[in-house]
Amino acid sequence: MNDSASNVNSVEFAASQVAKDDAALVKRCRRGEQTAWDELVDRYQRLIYAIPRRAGLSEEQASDVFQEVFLTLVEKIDEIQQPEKIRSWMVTTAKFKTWGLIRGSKGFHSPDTTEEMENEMASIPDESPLADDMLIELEEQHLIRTALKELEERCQKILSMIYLTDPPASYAEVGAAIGVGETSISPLRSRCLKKLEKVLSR
Amino acid sequence: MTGQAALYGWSRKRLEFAAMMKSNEKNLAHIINRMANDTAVNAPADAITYAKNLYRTRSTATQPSAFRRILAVLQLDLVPNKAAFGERSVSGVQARQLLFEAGDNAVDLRINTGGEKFLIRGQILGTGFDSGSEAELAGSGHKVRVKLDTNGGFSFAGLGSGEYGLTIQSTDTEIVVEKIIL
Repeated sequence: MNDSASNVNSVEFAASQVAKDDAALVKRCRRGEQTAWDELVDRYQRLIYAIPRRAGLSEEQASDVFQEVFLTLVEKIDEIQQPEKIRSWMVTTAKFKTWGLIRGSKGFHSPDTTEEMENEMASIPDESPLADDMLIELEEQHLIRTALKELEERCQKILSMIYLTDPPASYAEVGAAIGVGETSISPLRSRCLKKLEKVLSR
Repeated sequence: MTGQAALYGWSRKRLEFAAMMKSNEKNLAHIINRMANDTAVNAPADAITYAKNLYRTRSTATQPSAFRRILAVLQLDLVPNKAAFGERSVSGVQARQLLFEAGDNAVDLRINTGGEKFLIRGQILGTGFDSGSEAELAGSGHKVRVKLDTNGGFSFAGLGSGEYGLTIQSTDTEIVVEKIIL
């Protein structure tokens, strides 16, 4: 399923509730709560790992980037000035570290400073592995998965089975999984999508 | 409201509703598109475990150790030209001597007068206080902080009369001597 880039980018999620939840998690981490840190890792692990993988790095290299991002976060967590923007901070850090690894593997000089790195990143053409459209897509997919977890279990199951599995489950399979008739799935799916949209617009 | 105005209002609301529906449909299509294209996978389990353990290391490293605060208790107060309890005659000591007990340590203070000003010399006895430890005297508008010497000694000069408090601090222990009246 491929929409044009212009169509895809014309919708923005408010996701202010997700940002507030993120900020609360960061504050709890600063107070020394291991459970909050675990939740933060669980929440972001897929997004952070996806960035180097989508840029073409191997599983091993992507694991290195992943670990470096969280290592940097644990070192800087008390200094991050806008905890509600932790998602942007992590994505940017993953992007820089991915780019640094790509340059290093090609024998290029790796920029020493963030400013130098940003200048280089800005000069990357749009079709590059880490183009902004790709990062926006990954971030939105992250937001959707986070929002999905706020829905009731039945909705989570319906939407996951239809949209997040490959190949997608048939209505008959979804109906069997949640114990309703196949004909009920279409209206249930619509209602669940609207609920998901509502969570994303908060 | 005239029939025409009512009709206009109804038409406008209908248009707004249609626009909203269109917008919602667009949002829903966008959400569906994003989900259908979501091919991201979980990070490897060992990488996740590593990330979670990073914080455990931090928590251990930054956890403050137990800090002890001990209130010193006066054991002996020798005033010049005044026989102490149990002494037959006055001693020749010119400085007032105060000895405090503070847990495993003791604090020995000598107070001299030089005209209208006082000099306090002191020494912490026992272990746990090295030359990096500090002593702070506060009171009567003064607050002075000095480092202990290699023998645990310290001094404060040029003090006016009044009530002072002394704090001697190491990395894990603080000894407090209250109410030193000059």
